[in-house]
Amino acid sequence: MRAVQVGTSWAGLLAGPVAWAASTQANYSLVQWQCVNRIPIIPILALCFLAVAVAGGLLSWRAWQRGGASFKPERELSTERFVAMLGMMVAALFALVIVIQGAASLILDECIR
Amino acid sequence: MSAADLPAKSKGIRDTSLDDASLHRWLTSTWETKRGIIGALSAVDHKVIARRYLITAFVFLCLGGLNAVTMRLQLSGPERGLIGPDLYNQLFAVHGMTMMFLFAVPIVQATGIYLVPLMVGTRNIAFPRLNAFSYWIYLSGGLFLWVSFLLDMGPDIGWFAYVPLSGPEFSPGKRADVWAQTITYTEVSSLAVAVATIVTIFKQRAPGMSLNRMPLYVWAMLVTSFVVVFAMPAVMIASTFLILDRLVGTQIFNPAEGGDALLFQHLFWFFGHPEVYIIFLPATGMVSAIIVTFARRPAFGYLALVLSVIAVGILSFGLWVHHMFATGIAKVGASFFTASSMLIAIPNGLQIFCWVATLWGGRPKIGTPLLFVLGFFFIFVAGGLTGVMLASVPLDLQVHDTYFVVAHFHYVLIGGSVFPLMGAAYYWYPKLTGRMMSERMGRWHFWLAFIGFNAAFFPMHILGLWGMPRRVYTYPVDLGWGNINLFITGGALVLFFSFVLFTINLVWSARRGEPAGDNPWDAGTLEWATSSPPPSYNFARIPVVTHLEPLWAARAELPVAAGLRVDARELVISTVAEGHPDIREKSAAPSIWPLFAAIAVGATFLWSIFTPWAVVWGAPPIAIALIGWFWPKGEPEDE
Repeated sequence: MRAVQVGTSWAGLLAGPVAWAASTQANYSLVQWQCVNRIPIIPILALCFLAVAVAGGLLSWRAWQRGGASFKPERELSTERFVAMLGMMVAALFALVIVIQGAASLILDECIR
Repeated sequence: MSAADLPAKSKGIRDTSLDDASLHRWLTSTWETKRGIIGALSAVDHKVIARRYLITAFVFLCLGGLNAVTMRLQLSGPERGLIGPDLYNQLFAVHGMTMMFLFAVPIVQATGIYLVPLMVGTRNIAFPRLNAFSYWIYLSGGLFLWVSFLLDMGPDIGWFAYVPLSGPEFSPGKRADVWAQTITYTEVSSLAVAVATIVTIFKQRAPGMSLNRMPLYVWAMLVTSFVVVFAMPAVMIASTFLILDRLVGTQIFNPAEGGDALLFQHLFWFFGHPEVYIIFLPATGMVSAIIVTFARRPAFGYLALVLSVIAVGILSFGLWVHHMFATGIAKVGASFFTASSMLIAIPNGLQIFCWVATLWGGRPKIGTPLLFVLGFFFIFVAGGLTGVMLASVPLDLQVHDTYFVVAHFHYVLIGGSVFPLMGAAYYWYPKLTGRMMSERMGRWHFWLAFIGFNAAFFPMHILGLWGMPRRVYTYPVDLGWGNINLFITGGALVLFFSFVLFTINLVWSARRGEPAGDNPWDAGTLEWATSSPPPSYNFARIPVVTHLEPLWAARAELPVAAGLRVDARELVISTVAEGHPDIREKSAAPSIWPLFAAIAVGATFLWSIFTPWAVVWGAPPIAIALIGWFWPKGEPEDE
């Protein structure tokens, strides 16, 4: 809980790419399933992974605001803020990729080859 | 002075109480590579290994270039009979493999092996014996491919060797096995270097070099090394599965027996697309280093540049299916990869804007390294634009396997990597040799390369749109492709000649170049804080970093740390994020065992194209070599 309260500088750096990788892999695998069952699983999953990326970015933002989580007293403010800013930006970029990938399934028919 | 001339003192002499001359003598006797053949074969100095890598990779560049020139001569007119289809198939496959596996990846990693320890202010790369081992494996892989080619056994299935063409049914003989095992050699070598580079960057940075003070080149090498670690195993699995299908009779890629031919493409391109970025990302680091020095100001948007390198490295893993748009996959699935392929242009574009802004806000002086960087802007942006075009499924389907694609990837690879590499060669050559390269020859080299490159590759876009397929050894007169192909061959010859000039410049400057001094460009990063060429121990005292460009921040005198032993190979190990000095650690001493291990591993790989039992009988010699490698020998480094 402490990580949530004071933020985690590297959270966005981890959550953004992991959410995007999982979203790409899961949705790519589910195209055929969605074609057969006609249930819009791809945009729903994309929204879930988007939430993960955004949550990571928010934790980084919190850490940036507070000047870094104080788990370890030897951490330096400038390095913490640098990592936190990287985390926010990476999370934002990968959130954008997840949204655009998810939007594709709203435009194209999943059964077209 | 040799070790025998040094006063015999008790163990554990530190650098704190020594004057400069004694310090130099002690450090030299501890760190130098011994003379003689055994000394050379046992070397673990990162600079020695890197020089070997650089020279070997350059030789392979020349060989791969000769492949290309031969192909261009054959294509210079319709129905030329210079080369038959069989040799042509080998030529384009060996050209691609040589350029990708034996030149591009090894040379960018070699540059890192040389520069990263110097830039982070340490005395040797992490795992120096592993690094030495990697070179011997790389050399054996290169010899394996080229000796096979000279014996008319070169792969003839393209650099990506799709099944079923490369499978047992359509490629009898050993040519496809040579492809598979060349991959294994070179990937083992790359993985070893990547691991050593990551550990060096994370744990051996000079005190004070926190993540936000790390040079952009070091960031680029860090991300590249991670990309290598995650990408290369996929292609090793693909090549091993292929050799199992061919040698043992498994049916992994045979759909008739429940296998999956498309799995090969997935495995290959999961590696193959990041491979482009493995080549490109170090080049971005080189561009950043050159631009900052020549603009004479710190990088504009350091954070954005770091973000770009990280984002590009990660996104490169989500693009692989765009190589497979013509395989009939579902359109929604393909669109995910279109999205990633287009969005990777955002961080790449961000980099370009940051570099332009750095030059804009600085006082740039035009030297040969910067000329190559400016050439890179032009060519790489053009290649990037056709990349965005190819990310679109309908357009990709139209130009798939045509010369449009050949033009695109040469714009990206030569523009994105070779031009920065050439700039880097002119920029860091003084550090390696102590002498400057000729500026006059350098400018001739640049303009000939720039004009020759564009003359050779731009018309290929048009040829591709006209429908000329890639990998054809000739074409009929009626198609009207003769004149444009002749023009392309002319451009290719100009490009080749520019590299002849570069070679002359390298050799001439090594003997007659102007003495460089420690920091001829007045650059700000740590590799310029030591002599040119650097001593075996890199730095007499480990520098302390207080700024992103340490040499600009402390022009009078660089602060240093003390307390390391001088009678043993000792390094400062620092914390990952802040670069706080943590512990003192030993660095491995020279050893002949990495060579023995590489011979055992190399022989096993070679043998395994003939019988699967090679893996069984090859294991004991490898085990013996590894035991010898790690056996404690009572040296201070074992303590």
